[in-house]
Amino acid sequence: MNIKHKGLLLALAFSVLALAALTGYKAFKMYAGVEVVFPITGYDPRDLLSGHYLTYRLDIKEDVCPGPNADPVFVCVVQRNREILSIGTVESADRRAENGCSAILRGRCRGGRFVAGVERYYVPEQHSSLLDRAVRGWGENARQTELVISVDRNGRAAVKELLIDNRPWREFVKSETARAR
Amino acid sequence: MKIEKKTSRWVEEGLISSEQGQRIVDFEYTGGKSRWSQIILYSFVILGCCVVSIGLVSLIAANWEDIPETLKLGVAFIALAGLGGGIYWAQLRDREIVFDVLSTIFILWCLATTGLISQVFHTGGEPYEALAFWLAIVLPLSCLGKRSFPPSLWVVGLLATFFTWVLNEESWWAKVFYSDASNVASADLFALPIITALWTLLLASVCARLSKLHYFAVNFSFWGLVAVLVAVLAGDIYYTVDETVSQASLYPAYLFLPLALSAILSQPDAKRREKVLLSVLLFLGLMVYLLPLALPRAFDGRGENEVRMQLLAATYSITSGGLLAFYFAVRSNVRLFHAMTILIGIRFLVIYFQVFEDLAYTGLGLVISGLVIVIFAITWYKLRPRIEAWAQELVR
Repeated sequence: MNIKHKGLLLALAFSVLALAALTGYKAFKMYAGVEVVFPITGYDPRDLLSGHYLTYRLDIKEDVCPGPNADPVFVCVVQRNREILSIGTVESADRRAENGCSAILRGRCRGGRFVAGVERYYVPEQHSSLLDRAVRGWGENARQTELVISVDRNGRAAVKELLIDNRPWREFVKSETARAR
Repeated sequence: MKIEKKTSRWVEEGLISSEQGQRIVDFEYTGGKSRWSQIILYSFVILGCCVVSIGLVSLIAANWEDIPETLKLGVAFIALAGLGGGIYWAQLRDREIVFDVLSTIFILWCLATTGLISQVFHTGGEPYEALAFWLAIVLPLSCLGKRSFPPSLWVVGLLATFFTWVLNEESWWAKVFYSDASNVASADLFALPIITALWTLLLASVCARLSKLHYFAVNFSFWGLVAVLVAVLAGDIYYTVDETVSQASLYPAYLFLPLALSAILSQPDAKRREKVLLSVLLFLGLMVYLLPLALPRAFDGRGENEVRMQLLAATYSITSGGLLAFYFAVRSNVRLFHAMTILIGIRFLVIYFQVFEDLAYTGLGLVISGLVIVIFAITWYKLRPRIEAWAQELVR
């Protein structure tokens, strides 16, 4: 079969396949890794909401940063029943079994704070203020906010869900909206 | 090779008359119809489809929670497939404007889909990473554009990627300049225009050698000249501030300067005067920053309103402005030549005010300078044939 304009077809297919591959890779990262639930907290009220995504930091109380700008840093998370028991550092992502880690999270330290590339969650425009207040957790708006992430065996994490008071954020928004009415 | 170049070569060889050449060009572009009406139609249709595409991106950015994410992604890919089919159809039917319109929408839709993927999977990462990915996946299609818009869009995207990368605190630039990875220092930003000019003009020169990349060459050349103009301004201002660009900020310039000069000077179909003028401009643009680093004592009056530094700044910008004016004259771009001469005139005015700070002396200085310019211009005009003959003997 004589296909005309093969170059054009290849150019079009390349774009579509590249996007499909990116989608597949992100989906694989999200569903194939070990699920870990991390508490989160806002760290800078001015930057907490930027555009239509929430920014926050993982609430890690332990000092996991060997230096203010270390890269990479591997954090060993020991978790049972979605409760984090301990957090420490290890040398690499393939030391999970010998250290008894549920997952090893790869990130870097920026200004002494551990960053894993999961500090952003896209939210619909109309609920951004409500979620912003919940994640910041000031006064009567104080909520238990957690992030469900999926960590693969290289330590790279993908965001799965945002939990507010142990519920997916959509349920929280629905109940708050119904309460407000 | 573009049809205009082919026909001008045929005219030069005496194969066809110039009128026949112009008729051939008109026919190739328009099928005999008025060229201007085609250009206007093309421009407005492209504008409309860009506005539509940006509107679609905005709809995606609103992140409608009522639409399941799988459906959002499915619709995005189906739209891409549909647009791809339309582009292929336009190619089969030889519909150039439709091809470019659909290609533009496809290219912008690829950007929107990249943003959608980021939204659906809550990916972190920096904007320049997403832009670089987008540029890579749409480059082949941009090269196949029938007219100028798809390559223009790609070149603008590349510039946007470059600047978002440079200004990002996680980028190589910030890591090189500061060990604590804070933001790029303001002084180092002075070097950015000349670095931009170097790599864009290098790419312009490289693309000019391949007929398929002609529109890329034109766009890189345009933005390179804009960067040169901004570099002249930046260099002028640099001599009046007391900050110094770091050596590290010039490393890309050290890499790009020899590459750009080699590419420009060896370009086959450009006039020798054009190449030399451009090369000198780029060299001067870099010297502005190298000289204070190499001779710090000689340049220690910067930022203190010293007359010496002000005169140096003016000398640099007027000389560079003059070279740019000549460059445009050689390219027969009369409007830009006049614009540069006006800017040079304004710079003359500014320097006199800076140095004398007095209307009377400024006026006297301007009268004398103006007379010198007029006498110089008339003398040059009268002696031009002799000067050109001498210059040609020199380079033989």
